[in-house]
Order: sequence, then structure tokens, then C-alpha cells
Amino acid sequence: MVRSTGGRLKDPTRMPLPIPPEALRIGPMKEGAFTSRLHSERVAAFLGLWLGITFTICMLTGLWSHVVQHPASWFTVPAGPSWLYRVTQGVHVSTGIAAVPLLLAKLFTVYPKLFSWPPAKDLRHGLERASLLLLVGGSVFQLTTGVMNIFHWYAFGFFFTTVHYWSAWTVIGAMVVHIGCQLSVARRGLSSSSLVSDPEPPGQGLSRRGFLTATGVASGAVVVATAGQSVPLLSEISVLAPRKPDDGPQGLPVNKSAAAAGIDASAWSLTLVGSTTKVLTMADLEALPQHTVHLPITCVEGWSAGARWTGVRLRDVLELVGSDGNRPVRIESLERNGRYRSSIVTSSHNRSDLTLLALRLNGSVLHPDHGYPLRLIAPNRPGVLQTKWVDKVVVL
Amino acid sequence: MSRWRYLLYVVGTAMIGYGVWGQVYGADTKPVRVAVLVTAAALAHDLVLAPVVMAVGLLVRRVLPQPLRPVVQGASLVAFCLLLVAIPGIGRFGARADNPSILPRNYTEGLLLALAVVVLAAALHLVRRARSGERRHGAQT
Repeated sequence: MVRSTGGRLKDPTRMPLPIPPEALRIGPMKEGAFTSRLHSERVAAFLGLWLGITFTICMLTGLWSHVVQHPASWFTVPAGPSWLYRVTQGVHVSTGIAAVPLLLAKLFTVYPKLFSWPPAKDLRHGLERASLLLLVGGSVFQLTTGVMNIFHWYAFGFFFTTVHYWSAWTVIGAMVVHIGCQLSVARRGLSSSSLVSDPEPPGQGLSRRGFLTATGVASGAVVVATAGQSVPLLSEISVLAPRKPDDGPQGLPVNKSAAAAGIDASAWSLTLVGSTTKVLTMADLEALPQHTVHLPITCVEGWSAGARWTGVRLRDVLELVGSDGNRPVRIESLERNGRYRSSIVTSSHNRSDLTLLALRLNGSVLHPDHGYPLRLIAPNRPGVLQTKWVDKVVVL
Repeated sequence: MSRWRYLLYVVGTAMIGYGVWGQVYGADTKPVRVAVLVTAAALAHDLVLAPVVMAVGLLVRRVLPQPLRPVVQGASLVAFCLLLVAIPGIGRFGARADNPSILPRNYTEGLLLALAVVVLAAALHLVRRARSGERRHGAQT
């Protein structure tokens, strides 16, 4: 064990590494290669704080979306409030978009550090820098593929949801490590005393305050330009939104069309499998009590739109085959292949007055793209689990 | 402080490990492709995007007289972010013939409109600053 003169244990990760020959210190690695006053600790600290907040919000809303789609045995997704998932997923996507300018500004501010000399002072410094590859590459990757995904641009060649989920753990982990590395720097940068110890140097062009303001405005601008896909008030202003909440058949957007799903509903009937098995025709369903509910469709891509749905309560249908709704049920679709051809509905949703097998949307018979002849619509649930073209309900 | 630091290291490293484990052993993932893309993302930013942005910044510094400079720099920052977010819409890469509700807008028009607002706001800002400068100047003489 190495001991320093003070007698305290010396941290082996702090042992200095050899410094490469000065002749290799060229280009951007030279002293004073970067002249902008915006490359400042204080600016980096503020942008880091904002970025940390947005990434944390994205992680928490993302984890919520994950448990909603992959319910754990110890957790049942509540049926209410019906707008909850709509809000959390809208916040997830908008916060991610807000992070785009913040990330770019942050990376610009600390860019000279990429060429810091010596490349690694000691082992810890080297490890810290290596972990930045995960943080920087991972953040750019996560935001880029995220934005591509809400525009249905699947050029990245993997199933987005799972990769986005696992990458989030890595990026947030790298962020936590980075906060650990920069704790004292961030404290110093965020404290008002740094205004005195590190005043803004005179110069022309954008000031530090101006840069932070412009970055904040850019974040606001990209959010306002896209959030109208879930916030009806912004619908007309959001000129870059991937969706319009009222654009689609029957005034509602669609994620997968009947044609894309290969639906042939000509020989349709609804099969119920519980303690007995029953087959219902459309006339049978129409003879059951009809209910109308106002519920939003919320896509995992962030868009959402409210609509008026009419049909039979899932609860009433389950009673026909002797189920009180306590057991989970599997709702199956005419769609033969496809990741979301069936979904599980658990007790809180089964018993909810708002959970319908819908026959009508906004007063008229469902459009094929909205799931004709029959679709599930339930509160507080992502669109991929609102199974369309339902032809079978199985009590598990 | 130091105790916090080590707690953050441990928690962060565990999260990184969990994420990497999921990419490698989880269902429906492509670990090699993701590793390549994450590296490419870092390189694309550090070796392409950042140098290009800085080169443009230097050009702005050379060409523009000082009173215009900060406002033009700030407005360019906002405009560039709007452009980035508009790219997938303008390219219509995700458009589908069977589903016109995806990408229902004219995104080129949308971007131009948004950029027009940015230019207008920047111009207003300049005018306001020039006026307040005049007033201050007038008070001094």
C-alpha cells in the first residue's frame, strides 16, 4: 500500500500517469486553442443542471411507461385517472425534445475538454473520460433515435422500445457517475460566489447570459413546435409536430392501418373463453347494454387525442362466461402477426366502468383503421395495448 | 462530499452495468449495432457537428459587425435546433401510403414559418436595443 508523507492512505487511482511528449500537443490540444468565453465552468454547470433535470424526468416517465407495458406481478396498473398515461407520455416526449438544445449547448461549452492536456492525468481521470464516451455517445444516440422514432423514421434498424429502455439505464448511469466526478466543480459553478471569482471576461458576441437565454429559448421553441400532437391548444402552432390530434379517419390519428395489419373481417365473430366458451355475433353485441365514454388514445410516441367511444363494457362481456374480472384476460386481434396483436387486461381495468369493447367512434361505426368491427378502449393505457380488430377474449 | 461521490460512482456503475447486461442478454436487442451507433453518435458530434458549428461561428465573427453579432448568434442557435427537429418531417422518411395520419403537415412550410418567427423576434430585439441605446446616449449628452 502506498502511503503519502501525511501517513494517510494514498488513492492508487490518483497516481500520476506519464505525460506524453509536448511535440504531440498539436491543433486543438494547444494552450488557448479555444477563445470563446462561452467555454466556461459556470455555463457548463447551469446547462448540466438543466440537462440533468430533463434526463431525470425522461427516465422516470420512461420507467412508468415500461411498467405499464410490462406489468410486474407485484404491481397492477390503476385504471384511473384516465388521463395519467396521456400526460406522462406527453411529458416524456416533450422533455426529450427540450433536451436536444440543452445537450448541444452543453457539449459546445465543454468541447475544449475533449482536447485537454495531458489526455489522462491519472487513472481516475482516464476512467472519467472513458465513461464520457458512454454519456456523450449514449445521449446523442438516445435523443436522435427518440426524435426519429416519433416521426416513424425507423432507419436505425432495431426494435426501438427495448433498445431505448436499456440505453436509458446506461446513459442515466453514466450521468450519475459524471455527477459524482463533477460534484465539486458543479457546486462551484452554480454558487453565486463564482460570479465574483470567475467573472465574465469582456468580449464581443454572445454573452454567457445571452447564450443560456438563447438555449432556453431554443428548448422552448422545439417543444412548442411539436407538443401540439398531444396538447390540443398548441395543435395549430406546432408546425413540426409529427401528428395532428384531429387528423385521421373519423378525426383521429392511426398508428397501424387495417391494410398494414392484413385484416379480413368478413367472417368475424367474437369468441369468449372463460368457464364456458361463447361465440357472439355483431347482433349479440349490439343487444347488450351500450355505454359511451370519453377517453384519449395515447401513443407511446407521445401523440394523444380524446375521442367519444360507444360499445359494451368489458365487465358485462366477461360476466357472460362467468368471470367477475378478478382474473386477467387476454384480448386477441384478427391481426395474425405483429408485436401488439394481443394485450393483457388486469383486474382494475376489467372492473372499470370505462373499459369498453367499442363498436363506435365519435358516433359512427369504427373505421377499419380504428379496429372495425371491435376494439378495446380502456383508461390510462398506452395505444399499443388498446387492441384493435378484437375477435377473442380469453380469461386467464 | 467524498462519501456522496463514491455512492454516485457505485449507483451509476451499477446502472451502466444493468443497461449493458440488458442490451447483451435481453430479448429484442441488437448489441453490436447499438455499440456501433453509440460510438458513431459521439464521433459524429465531436468530429463533424461541433467543428462545423464552430467554423460557422468564426465566420459570423469575421463577417458581422459587433452590434448585430450576439443577436445573430442567439437566433442562429434557435434556428439550428428547429432545423434539426424538422429534418425527419421534411425528409418524410416515415411517411406511409396506407396511413396519411402520419406526418400530416407540410414540414418545409412549417420550418420556414418557424424560422420567420425567429428572424422577426431577432429583428425586434435589435430595434429595441438600438432604441434603448439611443435613449441612454441621449441622456448622456
